[in-house]
Amino acid sequence: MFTTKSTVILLKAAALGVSVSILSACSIAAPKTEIAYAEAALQSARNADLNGNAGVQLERAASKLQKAKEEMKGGDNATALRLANEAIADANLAQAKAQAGIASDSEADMQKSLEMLKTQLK
Amino acid sequence: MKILTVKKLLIPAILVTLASGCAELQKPQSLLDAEKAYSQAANSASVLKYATPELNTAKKTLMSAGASENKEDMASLAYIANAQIETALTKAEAQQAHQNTKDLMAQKEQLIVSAIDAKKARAQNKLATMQQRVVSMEESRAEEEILLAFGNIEFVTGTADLVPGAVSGIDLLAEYMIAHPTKTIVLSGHTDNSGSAELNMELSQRRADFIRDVLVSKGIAAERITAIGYGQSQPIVPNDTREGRQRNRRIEIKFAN
Repeated sequence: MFTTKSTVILLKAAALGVSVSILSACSIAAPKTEIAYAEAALQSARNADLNGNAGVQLERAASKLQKAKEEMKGGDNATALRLANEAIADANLAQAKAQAGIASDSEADMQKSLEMLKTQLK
Repeated sequence: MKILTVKKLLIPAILVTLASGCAELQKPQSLLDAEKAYSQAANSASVLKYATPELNTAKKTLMSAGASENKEDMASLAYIANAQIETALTKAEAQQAHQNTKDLMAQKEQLIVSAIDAKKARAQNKLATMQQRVVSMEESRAEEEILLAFGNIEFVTGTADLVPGAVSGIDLLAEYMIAHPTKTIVLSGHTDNSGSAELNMELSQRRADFIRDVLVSKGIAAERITAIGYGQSQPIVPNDTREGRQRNRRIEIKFAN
């Protein structure tokens, strides 16, 4: 059924499709903004972690960020973008853990203080 | 033959490509876990109260993950969604801890205020007690002075007439009762055993009534004064000497509030 001409057309179309796919894969820009944002979020979380409650999350975010940088350097921007976004999520979680730790310590201190006061007033 | 071979190879290849492009990706376990965690978080009162924006962000990420066209994006978005859900839960915990701290602080302040109030009340009670003691001492001293003055009151024998100069005790008593309007008194009239007991009873009543009338004339309400005559029935010393009989002719006063 296929003629030589039609086969050639079909092959050209397939080649075009592959080219588009390759081009679209290459069209992802280097995620410099996401990496910069992840760095800022990580730094902010480190600063917030006064009581060392977010060590695991901070380490995870730092590791993801490092890998994102490496992938971007290696030209795999898609993987770099995913890793940068994951690093941002980890950094935000680290920030929340740090703040929750401080809040929890503060509550415990206040509870102790209240108990001491009650004892003093007895 | 050559054409047919190309046909045989290309058609299945195209069909496979189309089929794989249209088929929905199977969700990885991490995404299923994230969806489950989201459902639980969405039912948590504290998350809804304190971390709704974070929960909404996680929801959007989950939707993006579900619509992903490749496994890598889906897995990555599932990871991010899990982290965002945990962030929402953690933020809710932190906010709850903040609220608990505030509540504890309020309890502490209330305790301090109550303790200060109790201390003030104790000090005021102590002061009031001391003031009452001072007042009582002053009243006692005044009453003693009155009793002393009444102890020197003398009546002309056989009459209810005071001897001259015996009014100072009544004046003192009148002033005292005006200054202390809640005070009431009982005046008891007594005689020596000169004369008949019946006459002495009448005489003692007249003497007590006389004092009461003088007090009323000075502005003291009559209902504050009870006057009773006991005659010669309650001597405080024997009547066998002049001095003893003089002491038994007396007016006694009892104060009450």
